[in-house]
Amino acid sequence: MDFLYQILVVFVTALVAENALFARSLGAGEILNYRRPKQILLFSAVLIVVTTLSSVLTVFINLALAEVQNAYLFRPILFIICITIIYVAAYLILHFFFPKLLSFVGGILPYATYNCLSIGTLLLISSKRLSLIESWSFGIGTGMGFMAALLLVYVGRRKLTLSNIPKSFKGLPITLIYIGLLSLAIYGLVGHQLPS
Amino acid sequence: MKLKRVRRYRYATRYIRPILGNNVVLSAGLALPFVIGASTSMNNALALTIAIGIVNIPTMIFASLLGKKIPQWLRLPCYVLLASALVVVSRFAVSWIAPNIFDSLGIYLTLLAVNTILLVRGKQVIPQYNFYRAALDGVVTTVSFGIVMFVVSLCRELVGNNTLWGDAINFPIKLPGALLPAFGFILVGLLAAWAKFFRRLVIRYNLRKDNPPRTAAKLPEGEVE
Repeated sequence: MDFLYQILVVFVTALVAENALFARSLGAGEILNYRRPKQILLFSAVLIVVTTLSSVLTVFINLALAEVQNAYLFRPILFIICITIIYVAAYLILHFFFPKLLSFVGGILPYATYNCLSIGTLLLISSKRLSLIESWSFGIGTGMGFMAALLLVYVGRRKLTLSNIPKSFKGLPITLIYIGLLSLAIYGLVGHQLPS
Repeated sequence: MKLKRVRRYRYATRYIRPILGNNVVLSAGLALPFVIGASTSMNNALALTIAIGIVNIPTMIFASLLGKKIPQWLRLPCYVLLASALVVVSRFAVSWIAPNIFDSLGIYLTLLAVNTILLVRGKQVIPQYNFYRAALDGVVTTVSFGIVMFVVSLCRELVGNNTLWGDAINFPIKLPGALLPAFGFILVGLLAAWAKFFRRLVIRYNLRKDNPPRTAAKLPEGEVE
């Protein structure tokens, strides 16, 4: 029971309390690229698969580097090699066995694999020294938290587009201000207080 | 409508436009995680600007020389692998800035290997450029990123910590909440709005010069148009 509780805590922390977009601004560059729910869900699905698979491999890399001196220099390169192996394997499997699916996700696959969110998740798992199951839970929680954040931003942008906004604020500026206010709201909702 | 002055302005500023008017951060929304998440001190701004230059410029040169020879689906992995090796070099280049610079930067220094300035421009734009244009693009985007980083970091460090470059400053306002990501989002949003206003102002000025508004001719009394 304690074990399940621990996994749930890690999942909910990654989903809400330490949401990648609102708490660390990871993946903020993707907010303008995906404007429709279908695109957001497709991108998020690929991202969740990548973060989940690579988070599990991260644990083994950390175990292998436990006794190595100056491991902090090699760790990021090994994480990126690990993500590259997943990307190449995914591309080749889709290319040879599911070419129709590749035409559907081919444009999104490289950007969903190589972004601040996927690499940042691995670095956070490494710094928190999570176990195998906790890493898996954190990877899924981060991906789903980012999907929820993108959907929230999409809903907000739709309403903002219909509002009377000054021309200089249309597009990126008002979206960033909106995300900032959401981030502040979630910061308070989680239980933090503004530092004094 | 005449567009001579607008075209002349765009041609004259084609190399330096990414610095102010079409800033890569404020207009295109690239490299936002670093500007919002890591811009809590001027030391961080300096470290990330130096590091992004070390990572982006050689990778963009590599992309211009060999980008077209690599299959499209393999371009991003190649650029990211090269960038991750350059991030290791950049760690040594920024270690002199402050003793606790790596604690202050956290994961953001390592994340430069996947910064969107490199990924977006490296994949779409740079393979069409020659060596010199790619190097110039790398320098210009680095300066463009650095300007925004320094402005945001100055505001946040001064207001949030009442320090400058780590040294205490007597500043009347102290808002520790300025160090939160939420404040970073709002501040960058306001700066993006300013950049858009400035860009529209320049284009409108050039348009008005080419197409001055016509004043209605005064008709004699009693006559109707």
